[in-house]
This record gives sequence, structure tokens and C-alpha cells, in this order.
Amino acid sequence: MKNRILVISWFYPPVNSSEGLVTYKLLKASKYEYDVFCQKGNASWSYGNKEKLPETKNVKSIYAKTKELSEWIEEAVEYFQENKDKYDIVMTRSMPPESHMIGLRLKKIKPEIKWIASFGDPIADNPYVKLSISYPSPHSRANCKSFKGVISPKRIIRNSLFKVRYKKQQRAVLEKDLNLQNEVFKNADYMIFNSEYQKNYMLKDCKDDIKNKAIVLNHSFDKDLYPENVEKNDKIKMSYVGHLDYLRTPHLLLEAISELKDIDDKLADKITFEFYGNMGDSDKVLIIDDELTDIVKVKKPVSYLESLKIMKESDWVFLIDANLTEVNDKNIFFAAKLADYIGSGSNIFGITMLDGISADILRKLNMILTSYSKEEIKNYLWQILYNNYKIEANDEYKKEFDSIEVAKKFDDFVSKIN
Amino acid sequence: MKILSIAVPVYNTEKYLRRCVDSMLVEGILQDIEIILVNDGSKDGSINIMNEYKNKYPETVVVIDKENGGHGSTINAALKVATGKYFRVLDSDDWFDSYNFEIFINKLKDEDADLVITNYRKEFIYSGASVEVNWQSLEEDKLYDFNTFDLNVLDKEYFVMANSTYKLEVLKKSKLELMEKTFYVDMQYNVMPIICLKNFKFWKLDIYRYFIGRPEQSMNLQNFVKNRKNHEKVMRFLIEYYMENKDKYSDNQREYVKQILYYMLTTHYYIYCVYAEKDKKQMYNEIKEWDKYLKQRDQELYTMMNDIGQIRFNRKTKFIGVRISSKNTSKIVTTLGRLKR
Repeated sequence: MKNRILVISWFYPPVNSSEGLVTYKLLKASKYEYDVFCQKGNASWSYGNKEKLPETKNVKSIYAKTKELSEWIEEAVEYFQENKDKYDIVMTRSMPPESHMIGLRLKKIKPEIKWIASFGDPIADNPYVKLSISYPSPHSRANCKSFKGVISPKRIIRNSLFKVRYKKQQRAVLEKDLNLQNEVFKNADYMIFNSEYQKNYMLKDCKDDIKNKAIVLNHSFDKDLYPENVEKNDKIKMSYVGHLDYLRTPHLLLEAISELKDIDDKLADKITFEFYGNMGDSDKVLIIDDELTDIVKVKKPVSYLESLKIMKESDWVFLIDANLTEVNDKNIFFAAKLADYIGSGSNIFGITMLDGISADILRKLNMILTSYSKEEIKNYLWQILYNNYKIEANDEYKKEFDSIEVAKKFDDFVSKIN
Repeated sequence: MKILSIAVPVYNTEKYLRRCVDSMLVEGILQDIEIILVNDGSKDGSINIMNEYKNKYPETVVVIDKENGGHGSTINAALKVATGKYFRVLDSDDWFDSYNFEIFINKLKDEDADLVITNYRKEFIYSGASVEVNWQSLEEDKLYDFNTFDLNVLDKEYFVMANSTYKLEVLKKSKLELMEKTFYVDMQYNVMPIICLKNFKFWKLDIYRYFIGRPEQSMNLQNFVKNRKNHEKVMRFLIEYYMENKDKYSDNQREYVKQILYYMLTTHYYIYCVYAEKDKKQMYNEIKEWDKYLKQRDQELYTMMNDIGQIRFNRKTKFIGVRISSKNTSKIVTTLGRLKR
């Protein structure tokens, strides 16, 4: 291949966002050369835009002037129009899905260009989003102040009409997302998914000609980004790094810690739990209400490099996935932090759905895997604390997440394009 | 000598097996327990995990690898090799609370009752709910004479696999041998040892964690309907067994077994009168035949079942509701019952 590869990604370092970091690690380890069209002015949906990562000789960042997503699309198209002869291959990376909208337009400008669409999350019918949707009707029974209001026919009709309108809006959004996703499936030459689960979920209604375009590429860790030596504490240190909210919640874990404290009032001398990043208010309240502040620390978000250091310093790191059983029986989300956890060499304690990508990885690694049961979580914490529980990690399997190995697979795939 | 043998039936449970075995491997009690992992012809990687544990804990873990014969066959196999003074079963998708299990084993060393009863929890893992099933009216540590104790203290509960630890000699003396290739044989396990049971104790320890919600579980309502012939087979066996031993039981034993059969029969009628959705004509014929069988076999048990409104109503209407739609009939009966109240 003669030319550089153009990568379209809204997120890319110095913006500290999972999607950008996944891209960074992959490109850094690849043998090819890349131009990444991104931006660094807008740090929304990220942990800031000052992430200082080692320079990569084979990657050049091209920053858009704008901070607006809609204008970024136009700038990217404009850039391509001026430089289209330089590129044979373009790779668009979501989220956000706007990068794929750019891909669709680039393909029209230069139909012979090979387009690789890489998906972080599903664009349409995302189980996480589906579970977040509620019907916030102002005319609902819950908002009534009197019994008269509850039985009022006027309210009942208004509430029904609201629901119909709301569902219609939701359907329209879903339809729009589905159309975009299907357009990308149809027009992209190749597609990258981060797990078989994600691939099967997103392509479940597609024919074989679409399915044949897909490859699966693991998220990866970059061993050069971790500090060489770290200090370990006398106390057992268990950490969580990243975003938590009311769906991805440590609630059961906190309840389990609280029950352990009930049977051991010296628990704080033996163990510390540290959470770095966002945590939902109800979980913070639980920490205070159950008087866990001596054991559980909630800390500010940290830089990516600092997070890798924390992972390595910890004896155990937590993976907490949302319980999406209500909308999908398998977890399709491969959290990028799981790959970083693997790279850190620390033991992993996973709280996730029993079927899905995280569960598969944790089982193969021989790490702890619990589902959404306080009792189960408590039991394993007890084993760690009082029964000298040891992990015999499957180091051979860890290699499948090394960015060098993942990039080799990617390079091999790229070498066959044309 | 080992204090406790734990039989772990394993069939395609590689996903849960580590959780189960890990929960028993508590350092301080490894020399006191015998974990008998019985592979029932699993097609997944369960046997590899089992062997891994056997190699790591050769003094504690025993592996039996056999052809598929069903849940009952695994317990039969474990009973044959068990050497512990006591015996209990832990299904491989369930687990023990390690903290309470350690206390339990240390306490069991000084125990001699025929049966020790403990509490357990139902874990609805997909929803995150956890429900403790405990004995409210039993006195902790009291040795109850099974032939004389007041059955009312059981509060309509009975001894099941998840809460029972039997003395191995009681199980052997009762000639307990579970049916093979049949679901619901735990009903046999709950009934058959009673004839040899002289006494029992209750310990307020919450040990067993019963995992609920897997679609393939036999206790799933839809599977009850699907596997109803298995349920019937075990019910018939138990009724015949009860008839055969009726005169050998003490009064209390007979009353207790009758009570268990009453609960089990309720479930059996409910499979037809409440849960069924398909094959209505066939189900109608089956339940009619069953009802006739029960009436002929034991009038007392038959009459006891009239306590249940659903069953009484269906008998009065000659089970026609099962033929039309058992689900809707069930709703009608429930509504009528409420109105009457």
C-alpha cells in the first residue's frame, strides 16, 4: 500500500475518551501510517482534553478548527475533498456516529476508496439506551396532587395522548438511527466490531453479504504506557476506574462491603476500596448512610496514564457492567477498561451479566466473575479477605489483548484490502 | 474421618462451577470436608474444571465422571463413595456462603443429630433480588424428637435439599436411591429418609444460595409443564412408596410425609390447572386420569386436595377449564374466590 490511511474520529488524544484511546493504542502499534482527522477543542463526553500520551511517529493528528460536531462533519468532508488523492483507505470510528456520516459522504466523493467502519457501540437499538428510556409524562398518575386528579378523565386522556406522541418520537429516533446504521452497513467495505456479541447483535437482521464484511478486533492494552515499578500497600487495595451511573452501579458491591463491615469492625485496617471517576448520587449516599467512608473512597477522575498507574498499584480492579437483562439476555459491551485492566496484571473482580463478552473474557482469564447478587459479591470479597483467595491467571490468553497482537491482526486485515 | 460429604451434581455448568466449588474451599476446614463432584456426561468444559480442582485439592475433592443419567443418578453415585459422617447436596449452579459454611462445619464436628436444618437464600440473579428462607418457629440447637415434636413449628415448611444435612447412615438405612433420567427427584430425597429419621436440630445459619432464574432450570414454570410426565412419574412413585410404608411410619412421620405429599400434589395439579397454556386436550385427559388414580389409590390424600380452591373447582367442573384454558380458568377462580371473601 502506497498511501497513508485516513482515520475519522471525533475523539482522539489529547481528548481523554475511551473511544479515542482505543484508536490511539491500535494505530500506535500498527505498521501503517495514519492521518487522524479529529478535534481537541471540545471535551464534552470525555475526561478532559489534556491527556499527554507518547508521540506516535506513524500517526499525524489533523485537528478541526471547530468545536461543534455538525461543523466538524463539514470540515472533515472539506479536508477530504482537498486531499482525496492522498488516501486509498479511510477508517471511521464511532462513537459518536457522525464519523460514519462523514464516511458515507467520502464514499460518494471517491467511490473507489476502501471504507472501514469501526463501531464502538450500536448506533441503533442500543440496549443501554433502551433501558434508560422512560416516559416522563407530566400527566402521569404519579404527578397528581389529589384523588380527583387521579380519576379525572381529562388527565387520563392527556396522559394517553402524551404516551402515544412520546412513543412516536422514540420510534422516529430509532428509525433515523436504524437508517443510518443500515446505510453504513450497505456502503462500508469493511466493518470492525469489538466482540462477536456486538457483531451478532448489530448484524442480526443482515444478510450474508453484509455479515461477510465484518471482522472482530479486541480492545487492547499498551504495555509501554504503564509505569514500570509501583508501590503496593500493606492493605488490600481494590479499585474502580471510570464512569458509574444509575445503570452501571456499584450498589450491590457497596451493600456487600457494608455487610462485611457488620461482621468485622476492623475491616478498614485490612482493605480499601477506591473509585475514580463519576459515581451516581444514590451510591454516594449509600456510602455515607452505611458509614463506609473509612473503607470506601470516592476520588476525582484522573488522566488516562494516571488511571493505568492506579490499576497496576491495585491488588484488585473492579469491572462493573450494567444489568441489561431486561432488554437483552447477553452483555454486548466490551468496556475498553477491561483491556487496560488485563494489561495492568492486577486481579480482576467482575460484576457483570453471566452471558456476554465480559463474562467470557473473565472466565477465560480465570478471574472472579459474579453476577448481580450481593451475596455472591460478598462471598468472593470474604474469600479474598479471610481465605487467601488466589488467582491463577491465564497469561497466554492475556496476549490476545496486547496492542501489538491486536494491531498485527488489523495490519493483516489491511494488507488484504485492494 | 471427614465430617461432611458434599455431593455436587454437574451437568453443563462450566459457567457456574467455580463459584460453587470456591465457596466450599475454606482453608481451615479442608481436612473436614469431602467434595464429590459428579460429572453427569457434561458436553461443555465442566470436567476440565473439576479435574483442575481435584489436582489442586486431592485430599478434599473427589471427581466421578460418568455417563448422563440425570440429577438423581449423580446423587446415587456420590452416596456410594461418600465417607463423611454427614451428607448434603449442593447443585453446581448454586453456592454456599463461605463464612457461615465454616462455622457450620466446625459446629458439625460435635454434632450427632440425624438431621441438621439450616436457612438458605433464593438468589434471583437476573434481577438482583435475594430472599432469605428461614425457620421462624424452630428453636435453635434444640434436639427435636421426630416422633413426638409438634409439627406446627415447621410453619408449613419442610426439609428440602437446600436446607438439609443428613447423617449418611440415615440415608443409607432408608435405602435412598433416586430415579435416573428423571427430573424432580429431589421430591424423593425430601420424602424417603423420613422413615429412618429419629431426631433433628435447627441451626440459625444461612448457608445455601439457591440460584434462580436460569431458563433451563427444571423449576422454571414453563419447564414444569414441559416435564410434567417426569413430575407425575415421581409423584406416582412417592404415593406408592407412602402406601407401602404407611403402617411402618410413626404417627408424626406419617403426618409429616402426608403434608409433604399435599404440597407436592398441589404443584402437580397446578401444572395442569394454572400453568398450562398449550396441548389443552392432552392435558385435560392426563389430569383426569391422574385424579382418578389418586382417588383409587388413597382416598385420604384425594380428599385433602379439596382444601385448595383451584382443585376443588376443577374437580366440580370435571376439569373442563383445563380443556378450555387453564390460565383463564385460574383467573376466574381467583376472582371468584376474592369476591366470595
